[in-house]
Amino acid sequence: MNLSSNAENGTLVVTVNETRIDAAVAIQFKDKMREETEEAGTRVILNLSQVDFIDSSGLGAIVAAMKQLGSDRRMDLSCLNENVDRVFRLTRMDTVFSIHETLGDALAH
Amino acid sequence: MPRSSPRFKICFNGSPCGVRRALSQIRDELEAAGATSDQKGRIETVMAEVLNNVVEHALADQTNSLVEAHGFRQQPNWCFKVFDAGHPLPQKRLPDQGFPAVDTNLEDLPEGGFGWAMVHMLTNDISYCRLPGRNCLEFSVPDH
Repeated sequence: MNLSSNAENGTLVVTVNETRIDAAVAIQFKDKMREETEEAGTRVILNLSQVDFIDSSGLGAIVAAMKQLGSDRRMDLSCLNENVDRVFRLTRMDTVFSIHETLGDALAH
Repeated sequence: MPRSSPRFKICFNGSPCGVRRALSQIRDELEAAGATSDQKGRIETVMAEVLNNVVEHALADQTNSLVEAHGFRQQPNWCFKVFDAGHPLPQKRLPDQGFPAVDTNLEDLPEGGFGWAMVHMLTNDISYCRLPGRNCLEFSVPDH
């Protein structure tokens, strides 16, 4: 599970360098996110621009990653493709996360 | 000349890697049959949940068990059958369609329980039956 991160003006942008967050890698994603966001400030943006597909395990791992940050920090999402966006809409998780079309939009928010 | 009706059958090992390979093969078959990206996306979402359930639950304590997925075109749907040699569904019936609540506090947000609800939302005519030593799940995914 390849993640990379970049701090931009106090916001940590975590990019998922994988095409899938699914049952095969959900636990690794959750664990790697915990490591990657440990030192993060109050805002994290998860950049999903390379992700073509998530299943319910992947969704659960993304939710878990947000919960790991605690209530003093927030995690927003950017660059969801149509398949990933569909999963968030079907489960109504699009009402829980702030979702931005581009990383630029997310950073400007 | 009757129009040919696309159909395929895929056999794969009942493991998370096997599921990934199967989904990729199914995607290729749908692509070859001219499915739109919206159709391919909805089918992959349904199939991923169904096949993950087979691997995690039906085949929980089995290795090297083969799973079969059949697909065929029957306008305006794609129809599927999935067979596995694992344990039957609890009470031999499909789990219900409810989604877990998401209007909760942060710490109470659900991290699972979405799979069957998504399958119900994206499919028609879903049915389960238990055959001797096998499970059979059938469902169709409409074009729109």
